[in-house]
Amino acid sequence: MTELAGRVTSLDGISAADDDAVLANGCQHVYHSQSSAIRDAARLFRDSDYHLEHITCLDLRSDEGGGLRLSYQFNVHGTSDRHLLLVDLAPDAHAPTIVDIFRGADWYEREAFDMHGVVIDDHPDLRRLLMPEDYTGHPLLKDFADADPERHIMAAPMSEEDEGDG
Amino acid sequence: MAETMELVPDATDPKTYYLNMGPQHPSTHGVLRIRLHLEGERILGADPIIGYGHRAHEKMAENRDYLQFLPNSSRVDYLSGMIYNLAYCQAIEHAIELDVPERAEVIRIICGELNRISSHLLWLGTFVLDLGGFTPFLYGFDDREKILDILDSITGSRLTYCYGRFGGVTMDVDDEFLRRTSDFCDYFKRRLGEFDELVTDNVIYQQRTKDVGVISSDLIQDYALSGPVLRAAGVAHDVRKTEPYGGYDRFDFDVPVGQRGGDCFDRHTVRMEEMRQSLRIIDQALACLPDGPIMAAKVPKRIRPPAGDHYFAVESARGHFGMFITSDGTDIPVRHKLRTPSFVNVSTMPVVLPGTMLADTVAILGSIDIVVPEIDR
Amino acid sequence: MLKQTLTGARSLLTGMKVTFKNAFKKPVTSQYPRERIEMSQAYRNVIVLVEKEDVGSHDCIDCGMCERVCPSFCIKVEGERPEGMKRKRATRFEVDFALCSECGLCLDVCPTDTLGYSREFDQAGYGRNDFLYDLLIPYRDREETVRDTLRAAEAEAAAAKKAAVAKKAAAKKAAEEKDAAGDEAPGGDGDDS
Ligand code: SF4
Ligand code: SF4
Repeated sequence: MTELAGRVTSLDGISAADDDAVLANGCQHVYHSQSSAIRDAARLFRDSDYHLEHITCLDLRSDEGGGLRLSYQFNVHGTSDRHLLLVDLAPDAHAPTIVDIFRGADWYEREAFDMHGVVIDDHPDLRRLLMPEDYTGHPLLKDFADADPERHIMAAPMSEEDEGDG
Repeated sequence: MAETMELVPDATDPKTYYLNMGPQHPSTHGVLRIRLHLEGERILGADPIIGYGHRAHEKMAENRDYLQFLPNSSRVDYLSGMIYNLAYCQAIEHAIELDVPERAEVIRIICGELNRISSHLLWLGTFVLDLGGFTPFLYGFDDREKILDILDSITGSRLTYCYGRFGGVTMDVDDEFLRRTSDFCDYFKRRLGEFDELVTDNVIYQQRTKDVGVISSDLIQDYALSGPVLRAAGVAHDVRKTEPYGGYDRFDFDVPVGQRGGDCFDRHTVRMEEMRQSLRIIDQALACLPDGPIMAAKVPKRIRPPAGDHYFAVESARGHFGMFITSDGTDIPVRHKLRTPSFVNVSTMPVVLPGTMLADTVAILGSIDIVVPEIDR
Repeated sequence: MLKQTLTGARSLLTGMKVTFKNAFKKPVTSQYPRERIEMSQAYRNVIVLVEKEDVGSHDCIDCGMCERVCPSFCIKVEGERPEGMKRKRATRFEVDFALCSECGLCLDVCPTDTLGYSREFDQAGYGRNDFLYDLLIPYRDREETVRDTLRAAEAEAAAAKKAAVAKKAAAKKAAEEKDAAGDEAPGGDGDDS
């Protein structure tokens, strides 16, 4: 464990993920974090000259006890030392913003809000990013109701009706 | 952000106004819309509004198996589709620990670098066109067409290649392909000199680009910039060097950096130099192309990456392209996040644009080389 | 000021030199339709059923692999098992080219390698329903004869196999009764596809 990883895990609410339990191919360090600890961790990475590679939201509600999860990934220029922070959100799907720490988080957080409905607290400008402003619903949620689910099921055999209009 | 908050209309100030640039503006290269807050020609605030080219690739990925996402990958960025297509193959190979025969690896590198040159050529042509020069545009497209023909001869497509497969590539290259590629390299080395005379040394071009749109090092960490934009700001970071994937460590090439602090001209010189380095890589690859199979002998019928997160990054023509794939051990990914470089580069616009002139917006947008479908995915 | 003018003039002249040199090159464009460029070997267009020499027709056995793998869901195959044959034959093969992304996955999975790309290049239409292709059209009229030959070939193969099995069984169980060997042979044949 590197010195930085040691400092990250010493933060309140963050623990290193067990290597056997969590596979993170391509990331050198993985942590589980509470949402309250994100800002501390982000500040630590910021002070260590790391940058935020992406924030990805995952819908794991179909898993037992799963909810929405935010993955924050930090890396450093020059070499490659990826730190992946897994944040399982409470059912109300609130997360604190880190825009004031990494300005680049702005669009990622808006995307998480737009696509998964994660409410980013204290974000200065939480608007939809990709979908139109008047759109309702969050398309990347697993239970997102699509107008024509038939066409989305993998390898669905074409039905007669499909062919008629397509 | 504070910058975007400025966009709240201010009726008490009649001197300022709002202007929509795009979504159908020729110099936004697609359907990007930027809401500009202007005072005369000076920009007070900028708010890129994206999503016009949103095709839900990430949702599609969650509704089909890994193989079926293959044709989508090159459509994420249609100007360097080969790099994206091969990147996706490499990401999956990385996840399921599949080894690729050496010949296929070298072929991939040749194709990827050719594609990088063609992407940079298109950038050069359209960028100079945005600034008012028509000739380099035609020359650039002519040369780009030569590359497309070469790639067409093995892939059967011009832009949206579906050439890679998990474990190799679809078609072997023949002597004709190798001859055409090396001919092109010889020709293009001379041609780059002409481009330098025509564009780089041009006084008007220099005046339009020097000290314009400085994306400096203080934004780098904030936004995690990558690619030529990052290198122009003076950081020699290239994914091909820092985490050599697909056999790039076998080749010798330099990572060019900008000398002037990250203005538009820097981004120009970095890309010109990158094309030279790509030629160098292709030359070496042609010289050492090994014989052998182009597909791995044992490719699993069903692609099932082990449950967990898989991150794989490549250096595309625009920068760090990463794929964050979350698998639950089945045929269908739980999440397939595409971390695209243009998305990041455009998200800096609210900070970079204010304070510049409207005419420079075109130069700045052009110089970061955006591809709108890649921003929206 | 003078210096600026001079640099400007020099850069202008350099640019002109390059354009001047290029102005006398052969045009790089070709004048379609009067001229045509050579089509590459790998050219991709709508998929077609390729004629297989050993069959004398296409060899689609309606396995449905292509239909299942196609990311655009644009293939529709139906088939039947003709009277007295083990092998299936496609009776319907339609492709909606408007949806096809020319990815080539269907070509990869086809077990009989009977799919290929057409060399058409000038399709045009007024709507997205104008690109429904029926790939069986070139083969319909000779389907009956093809089936007859296939049936004959299959029967022949089955007979040969039967004979081989019978021979083997006979050699192995030479001591046993002749009719016992005859009973076994069809059983050993049946689980073959
Ligand atoms: S080439 Fe691809 S999209 Fe077209 S029919 Fe075949 S599998 Fe479907
Ligand atoms: S994969 Fe080949 S044999 Fe199977 S249905 Fe398709 S075309 Fe016919």
